[in-house]
Amino acid sequence: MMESYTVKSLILLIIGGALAGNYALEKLMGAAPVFGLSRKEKALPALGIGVLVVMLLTAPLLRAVHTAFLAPANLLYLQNLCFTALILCVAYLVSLLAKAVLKKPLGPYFLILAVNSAVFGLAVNVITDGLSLTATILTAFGVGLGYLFTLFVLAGVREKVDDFYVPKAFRGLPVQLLAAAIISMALLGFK
Amino acid sequence: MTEHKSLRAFAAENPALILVLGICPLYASTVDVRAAFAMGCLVLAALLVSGLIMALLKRCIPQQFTLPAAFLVCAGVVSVFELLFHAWFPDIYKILGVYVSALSVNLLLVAAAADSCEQKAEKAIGQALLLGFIFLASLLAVAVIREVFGNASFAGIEIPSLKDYRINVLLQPGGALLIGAFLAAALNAVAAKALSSDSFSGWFGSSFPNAEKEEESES
Repeated sequence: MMESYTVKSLILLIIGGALAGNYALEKLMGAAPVFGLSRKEKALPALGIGVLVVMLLTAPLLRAVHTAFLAPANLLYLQNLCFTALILCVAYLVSLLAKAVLKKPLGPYFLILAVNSAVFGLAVNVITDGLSLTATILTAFGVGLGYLFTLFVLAGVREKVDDFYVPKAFRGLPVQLLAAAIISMALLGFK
Repeated sequence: MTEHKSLRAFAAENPALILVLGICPLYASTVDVRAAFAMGCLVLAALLVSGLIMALLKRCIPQQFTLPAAFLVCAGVVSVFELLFHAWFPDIYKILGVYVSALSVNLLLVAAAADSCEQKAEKAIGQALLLGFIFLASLLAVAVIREVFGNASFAGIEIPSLKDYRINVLLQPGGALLIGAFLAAALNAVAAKALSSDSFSGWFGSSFPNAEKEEESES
């Protein structure tokens, strides 16, 4: 069944996923790798786009597995295991693909970044909300963009903060968390 | 020395607040102290069981598959605990929602499980217990501040004297990050005062790749 979407609703789905429903800052899912990725500015674009691709691939795939296989066969108790395994496979494939395209491996850290609770939570939320395939892909795109945005913004904050005096106890992670808190409060304005 | 070691484990190397491993439940489940306690216990139990399974399976898992195996073992263990949790505590399960399932890919669990693969079972259990209790304590610390000052209640019981002074922003995700920042700064200050720099070797050995190590290998 084709559902009709207006351009406005499509744009809203993407913006909603990227800003108002930002996974790392508003739902705090997959926030750990974002903060843990403190000294990797050089590889950041490749890693962020990798996560976006993983989200774009896994959300429709896991939705399809859920509706076509797990729910009809009454195997919902296998959902976590099945989803984790599939996300791992997709992340591994994406890292192989990136190696072929970029001629440079993304490194072991990519698996840690890609198999995070944002990717997992996105798939579960898409299924719980009963979104259609188009809406799923658009939401995944929006959420992936939001994740990329968070990675870049926090990397930018880190660079700027280094130029200023920060009390010793706040150096490193605490000041990053403070910045993230302020950005998170600003994003509330989009709701 | 042991005192120093545990203080370092708690302050300078706090898995949740300083190393930000698996902070998604730390911030998402701390609006209510009961939910935070339940989540902490869940993480502790999952850490113990997944660590034990990985330590027992270490002969069967080739080294290059440690990380994928750790992910799968954690997902399996979390599924079991999720089903039990759903059956025994449906009210709290409803508050925690998708965050219980999301524990399947929690970095702390996976890192600890991958590390247990190189250790003996007793040591893996000891480390899982320590990590789990520190995580539980961190969750409770954040939850108490958020619930008492944000919602003027403690474990669901209202505190009338604080009712007019509620800080609503603490209940937002930004509030959780804010409290996390201040607690992390406090731990940093404690660690800087009380500890020399070389008494604790870190939680996870070579089995868990992290940003610094990768940077070293690049250069």
